[in-house]
Amino acid sequence: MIQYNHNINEPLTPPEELIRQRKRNRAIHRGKRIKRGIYCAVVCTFLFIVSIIFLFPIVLTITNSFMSQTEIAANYGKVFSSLTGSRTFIAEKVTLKLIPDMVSFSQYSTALIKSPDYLLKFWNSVILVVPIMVFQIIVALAASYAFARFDSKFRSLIFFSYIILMLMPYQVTLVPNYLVANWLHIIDTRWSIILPGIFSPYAVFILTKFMKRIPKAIMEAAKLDGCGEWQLFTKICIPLCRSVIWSVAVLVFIDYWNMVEQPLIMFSDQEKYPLSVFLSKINSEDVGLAFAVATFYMVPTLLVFLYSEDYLIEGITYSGGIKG
Amino acid sequence: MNSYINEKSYRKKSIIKTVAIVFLAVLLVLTFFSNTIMNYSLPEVSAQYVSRGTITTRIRGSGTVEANSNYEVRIGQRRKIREVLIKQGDAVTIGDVLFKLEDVESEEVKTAQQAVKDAEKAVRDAENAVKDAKTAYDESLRGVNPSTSTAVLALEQAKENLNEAQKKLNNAQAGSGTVSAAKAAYKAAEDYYNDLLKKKTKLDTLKSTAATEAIDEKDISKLDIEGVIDIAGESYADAKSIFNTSLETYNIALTEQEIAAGAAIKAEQDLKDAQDAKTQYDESHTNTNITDAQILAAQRDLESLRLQMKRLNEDYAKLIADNVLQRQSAELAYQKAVEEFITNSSGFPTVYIDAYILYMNTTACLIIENRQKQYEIDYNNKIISNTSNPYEKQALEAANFNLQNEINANNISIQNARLSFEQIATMYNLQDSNIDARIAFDTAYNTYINSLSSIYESELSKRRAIEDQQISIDQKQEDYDIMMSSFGDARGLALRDAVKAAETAKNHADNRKTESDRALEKAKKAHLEAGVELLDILSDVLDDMTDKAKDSFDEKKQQYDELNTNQDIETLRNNYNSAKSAVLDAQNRLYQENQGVSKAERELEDKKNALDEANKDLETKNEELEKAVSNSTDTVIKAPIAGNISQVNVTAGAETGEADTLCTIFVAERGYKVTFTVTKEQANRIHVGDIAKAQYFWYGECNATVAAIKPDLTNAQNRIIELNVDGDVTVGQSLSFTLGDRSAEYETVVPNSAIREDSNGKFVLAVESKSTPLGTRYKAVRIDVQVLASDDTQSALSTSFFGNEFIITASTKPIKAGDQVRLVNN
Repeated sequence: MIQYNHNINEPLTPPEELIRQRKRNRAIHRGKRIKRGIYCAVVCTFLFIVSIIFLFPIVLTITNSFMSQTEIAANYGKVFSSLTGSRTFIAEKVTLKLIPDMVSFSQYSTALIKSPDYLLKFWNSVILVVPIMVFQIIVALAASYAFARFDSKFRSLIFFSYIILMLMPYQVTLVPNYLVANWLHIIDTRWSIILPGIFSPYAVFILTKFMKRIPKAIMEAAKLDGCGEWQLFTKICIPLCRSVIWSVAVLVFIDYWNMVEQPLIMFSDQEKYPLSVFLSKINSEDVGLAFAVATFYMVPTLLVFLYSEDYLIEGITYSGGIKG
Repeated sequence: MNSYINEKSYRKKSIIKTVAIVFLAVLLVLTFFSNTIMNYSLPEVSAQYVSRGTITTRIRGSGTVEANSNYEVRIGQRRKIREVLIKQGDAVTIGDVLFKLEDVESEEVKTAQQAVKDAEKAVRDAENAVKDAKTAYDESLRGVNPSTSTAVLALEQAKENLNEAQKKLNNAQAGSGTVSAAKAAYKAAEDYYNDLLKKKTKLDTLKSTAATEAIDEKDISKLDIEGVIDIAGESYADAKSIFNTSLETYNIALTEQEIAAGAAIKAEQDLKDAQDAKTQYDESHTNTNITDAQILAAQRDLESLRLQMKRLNEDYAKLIADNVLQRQSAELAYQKAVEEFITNSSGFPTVYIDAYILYMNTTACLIIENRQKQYEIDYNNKIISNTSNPYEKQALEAANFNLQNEINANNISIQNARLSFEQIATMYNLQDSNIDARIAFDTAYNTYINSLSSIYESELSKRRAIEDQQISIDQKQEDYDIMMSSFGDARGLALRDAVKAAETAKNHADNRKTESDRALEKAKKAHLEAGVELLDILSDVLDDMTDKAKDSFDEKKQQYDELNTNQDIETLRNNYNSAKSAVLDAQNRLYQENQGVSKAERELEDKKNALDEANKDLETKNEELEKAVSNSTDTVIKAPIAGNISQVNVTAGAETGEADTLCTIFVAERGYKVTFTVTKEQANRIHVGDIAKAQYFWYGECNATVAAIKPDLTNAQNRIIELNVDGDVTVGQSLSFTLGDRSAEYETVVPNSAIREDSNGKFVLAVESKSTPLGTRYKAVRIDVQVLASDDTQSALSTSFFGNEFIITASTKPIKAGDQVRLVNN
């Protein structure tokens, strides 16, 4: 039943007029629907193509990890023939295949069962990333609380220097880091990577921005209730920053999970290399293995992201300045 | 709605958490067990350590048995084989029939017979030709008249001319004897003159050097002027004696100069050694600042102090002696004074006088004693004021105190004595009595006291001086001892003396050398002068001789020139030759005229020669025929030697050639041989005479020794080993030998299975272990090696190992360097 928004004080419209109006409205709606549909189709097509482009390498990695070494060499040997010199391959051109001719778990068995090297490298990555992540957040929380809460003449200057450091690429601070690590005699140890990672300015910047948005009224109210600084920090600030902390943790995890330069430079013993270094040094004989290793290498990242997706979005939103 | 979303989100997170936990747990389990699982897929290897061992190298070779000596049966002619009675391997003795031949003459005999026939025919033809030529010659001779022939006349004329020329030449040659003699004399004179000139040149050269360099007998004998010396006579003899004397003197001076130079060098070396020893000794002792001068100064000071001490003692003794007299005289004077007092004071009571004398004597002693003590106190005070030693000061003050106490005690005694006397004087009412005798006595008393005091003072001062001197001496001695103890002991002094002695010796040696140099100069100068004088004498004589020789030479030359101008033998000889040529020409012309005769004669000669040759040819052919007949065999061929038939090359019905071998007999007595090829390195380990062992020979006995090592012409890297073999072997048998069994000890020996080879050479794989968190992993690493020696089971390597390498000897799968392996379970 059609409901009209009719004002009681206005006279009723005759029925023929209503029917004409109804037909006009229907036409207008139909037109809008068509336009909306076309718009949606275009947007969806574009998004579909873009998503394929972005997802294709991941899908390729996962599906090619189930190919045997022979099939890998047949499909991709041409790419690596320039690296190996005069070696020739079966196929004259590179073939990107998503579906293996014969599903084989030989790469996984080599990576996971036959040789412990890759598993050891995986755990090297875990041993490096987890302490960095945990301690960086702890240090960053304390630093950002100080920046947010306490006024000082040099606060701006120090924070500005944090920003400058954050903007610098790793290669700029590489040599000083190496010299300091050498001076501390921690070259070729895990501390040469963990210690610089702990004191990264990125988390400080993010957390400071968020902590500054915590209303002062809450702080003052808590103070009135008798909270000290430590209680303010632990019971007020940290719970309020939970989402940002998660987002920072995820971002730090992703950043350090994929690090390559630091282990290459700080470690001379290849036994300490993380899996990211191995994946960066793929040669023609390890292509199939690289697919398998990359597949199970991306699982932790995926799991971390999926677990903290909500927090990540919330944290980025808050740090972007949009108030919720 | 929100609760639904939250619940959904919570469920999603719990699922993700579960998946993450499972994922990590699976990875953890796989990590722990992956090493174990991996090991099952790894190739299993067995390995052992490198060890020392002995390698017995063997060289192997195999070859076919051959006979050392073979006899090839040939017949040297072409025959047809009718029957072959032997086969390979048959044993034959001398005389055994080997082949039977067709009963026809051989081709060689037939050919020889035919040749003989041809040669006989040729002889007959040649004889006929000679006959014809003789006939023609005889006919030609009849047409010639030798008496009217112009050629004959010309020939006779030419012969006459020849005879004439010959006569002239003979005459000229007969007369040339004088010219020759003259020429010979002239030549001799010239030679003699030239010889003398050469000698003069040599003598002048020697004279020019004789002024600066000494000459001797050899230099003079080199001149080869014995004749000159003989002519020089006495003057040379005198000069020679002077020269010899000067030479002797010069040699003596030279010897002395050499000895002196040697002594100087030795003295210098001795001085250097002594100085080095002293320096070394000084450096090893602390106080090297002390010089000899200081030591001498210290010794001198000590000596002077001792001298002073001696003088002081003498003075003191003298003083004592003087003081004794003085004391005696003072005591005598005092005694006299006492007697006089007694005498002069006879009016006084005896008690009073005795008391007074006693008082005076007592006080005199005490006063003298006080004065002595006072002197000592004064002396001590002087020492106290000069010394800084508190202990000494304290001791002296204590001594002074005691002395002062004694002085005080004496003073009290003096006072008491005085009181006693005054009591007596009071008793006799003689106090303050100034009797003259008492005055005189007092004076004598004072004199006596002063004398004794001064005596004591002088003695005391002298004694003190002596003590002070002794102290100085002791101090100096102590200083000297300290100095000498730090400076050095007797060895240092001995070294110093040694340096002095060495310096003295060096000075002597230098002086001696200077003197000897001077003497040598002088002797050399005298010797040079004597030499020059000697040579001058010789030179004068030689000049005379040279002049005379020149005159003689000129004279003889003149004579020769005069004799030589009248005759010209050459022209006469030329004339003779021309006449001879003319005779020949005439003969030729005559010959031309008699050409016909000559031609016939020539032809006759030719034919005769041809006949001779034909005869010779016939003889040769006959000989060949005889030879072919003698070489021709019978219808059977017999074995010339005993042996075994190794090869039969013909069959029945075949025709043999001259050089064909019908069969080969090997002489079993000469033994067998086997040859095989080895590498050059292997050949270096083998020597002729080495014994080789036959392998896999069970048929009897087989002995082999190396007979020769020859180069392989087909391959320069190889050598051919020839073994002499005897025993139960047969020709054609294939045998294997080993030789060169030599054992040697090697540091690194591995099983042969451990050695691998590829295009880069030989290598072994060693196991390298590496600890990981999940256990120990083993990897095969390549070590390039060189094999020094090997036998059936192991090889010695040249690569030096550390001794702890675990070499892989076998594996269940093919492995290469870098592969991960696992060790075989025990």
